[in-house]
Amino acid sequence: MSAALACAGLTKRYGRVAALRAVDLSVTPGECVAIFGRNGAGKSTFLQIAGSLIRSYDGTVSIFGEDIKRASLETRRAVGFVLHDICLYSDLTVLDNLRFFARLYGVANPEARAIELLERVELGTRAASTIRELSRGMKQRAAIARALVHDPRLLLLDEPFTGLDEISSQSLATMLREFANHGGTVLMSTHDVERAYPVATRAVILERGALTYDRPTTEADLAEFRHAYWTVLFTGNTRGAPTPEPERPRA
Amino acid sequence: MLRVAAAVLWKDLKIEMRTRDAVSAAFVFAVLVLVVFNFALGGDTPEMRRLAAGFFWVAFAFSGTLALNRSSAIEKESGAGRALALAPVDAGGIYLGKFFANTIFLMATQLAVLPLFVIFFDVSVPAERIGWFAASFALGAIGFAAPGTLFSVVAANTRMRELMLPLLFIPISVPALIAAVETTSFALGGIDSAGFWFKLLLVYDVVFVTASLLVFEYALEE
Amino acid sequence: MQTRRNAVLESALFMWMAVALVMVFFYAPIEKEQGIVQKIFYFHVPLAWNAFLGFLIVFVASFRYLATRDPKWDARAVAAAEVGVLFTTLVLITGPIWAKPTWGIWWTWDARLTLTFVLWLIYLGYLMLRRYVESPERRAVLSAIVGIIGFIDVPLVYFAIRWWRTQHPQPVLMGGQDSGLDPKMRATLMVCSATFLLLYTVMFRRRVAVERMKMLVDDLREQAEGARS
Repeated sequence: MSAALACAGLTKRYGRVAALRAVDLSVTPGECVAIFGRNGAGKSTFLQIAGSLIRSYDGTVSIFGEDIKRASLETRRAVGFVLHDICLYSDLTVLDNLRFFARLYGVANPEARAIELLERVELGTRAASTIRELSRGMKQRAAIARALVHDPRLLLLDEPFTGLDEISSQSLATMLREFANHGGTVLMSTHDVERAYPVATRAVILERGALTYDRPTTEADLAEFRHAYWTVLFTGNTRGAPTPEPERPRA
Repeated sequence: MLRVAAAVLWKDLKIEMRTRDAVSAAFVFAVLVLVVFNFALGGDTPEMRRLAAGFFWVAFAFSGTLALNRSSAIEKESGAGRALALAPVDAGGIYLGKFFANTIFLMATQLAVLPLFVIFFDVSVPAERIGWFAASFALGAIGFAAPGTLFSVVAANTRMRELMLPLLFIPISVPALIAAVETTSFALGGIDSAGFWFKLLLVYDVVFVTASLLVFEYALEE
Repeated sequence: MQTRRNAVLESALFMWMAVALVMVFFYAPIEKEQGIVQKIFYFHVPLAWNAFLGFLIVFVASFRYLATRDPKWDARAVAAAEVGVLFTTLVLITGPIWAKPTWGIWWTWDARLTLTFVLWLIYLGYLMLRRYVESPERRAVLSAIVGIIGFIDVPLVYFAIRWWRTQHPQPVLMGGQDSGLDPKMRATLMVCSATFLLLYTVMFRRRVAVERMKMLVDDLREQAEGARS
């Protein structure tokens, strides 16, 4: 079975700055990968490339075995993304937005699908509110509903926990876990260790465009990971290989 | 492709019904232009009546760009247009949907301005030419919406959207503009025949809808 | 960058220009009604032909760019547009200079002049668009769109304006030349047309070279900055 997402030697430069440096990453279907890193480390760039928002880069990126630059429509349908912009029409209601995207993608029974998704992201009561009227957390949930409307197998999320209150965070975490449990693959960028690490099956740290940590979450609990992460942030370790885990504090 | 067009058309219509931004902006601007013409050119005179069709289409050409601008502005807010552009669907379908929506908005503006036009310029349509009058309006609106929808997206990608849309769009629309004025003049009884103009307008419409449709996917790239 | 081919073309250009000027002022007879001012015709017409040719080049280059995404086609498109707009501006300037002493008015909306004016506006839109887009790829793609659509418009503009002018006649600026041109005049016109074509080519090639140098510099700068970080 081909990797849900695989990149080799991915490099992206913006003039003086190298946002990504020869990143190699392979995500198997069913994984929930969280990419951590400070602001400017390259996380958003990585996701934008994966989502085809940025099209010029060096190296290769493929989705389900196909190079994204030449992927078939069907393969591209398998990807859903939630980015910094919520990508919904401000003047339409949530329900209308979802209906639109459902129709756009040719989903069978767009009405029913829109309603079903609304329920799933717990916005059923706000179906008739326009996007403008929603709070940040609700907008985020609506954006996720949009991302899921065409039944993707790979979900890309850029900083999904930012600006969410506790309750919204919890429901997002639940949704992601559910998605992964049904065979979906999740790839998200975040700097919110507390909320994202428990949801993820694998954690990766990007520092100045290079991968410096890549381990399943089962290998380190939250406290240990936090320690590893802060070590990277404060020492600025930029060597490409995953670093050996720092000394565990002896109990 | 048609499914996509229908979805986009429905969406644009719904947004406009809710906000009424495009049509009201275009309507108000058109009225202002007509009023300014009246004051600047000496009010109620036979010359004005003769040139009435010209004034109408000038007002329409400028106010139409406001409506067209709105069409791509809604896509830029909150990045919704990005989700639309990235969706693995036929770009031509997106063009058609927006094109039909824009045509409807432009025609709505025409209808809204019509009563004022009739009053200010004291025009009337001879009964046997009403069909031609309607055809002239419709074909003219299509002629503006066809390249206009495309250029609205192109201009939205630049630093100076408000300048670029008219700058790109108006020279290209010259044949349609001339033809629209001639056909409307004919419909108002001012001139005797306009067969050539109707044909030209029709050809223009077909050529530009086709060309814009084919090229639209490039305008959507990021 | 002085290549062999440029050197050849440019020397040829000098020669042709010299010949053309001699022909215009000494060989071609002075037109009996308009006097010496009529000689502007030998500049005005070839400039117009080449301006339109330039637009054709913009169209082809735009098309090829979208098909291949090779920046050299974008370089060719912008070069053709810039030289084209220069030539078009000169047409619009020589027109009135000729018209005023000949017919007493600076401008008439005659078919050919109007068509040239619209073309000038389309060119202008093309160049201004390029100014207002930051990223080089976006700029190339968007201007290619305008280059293609603009060119498709040209025949429609031509027919529209021609018919419009037969219905609302105005003094024709270049009336009657095509019929009954004195053979010496015709010869001079041909020589001048060839000269301006050569001029266009020389300027075009230089402009493309400048554009490609710009791209090279940008590339090098990016590499240097990339290596540093």
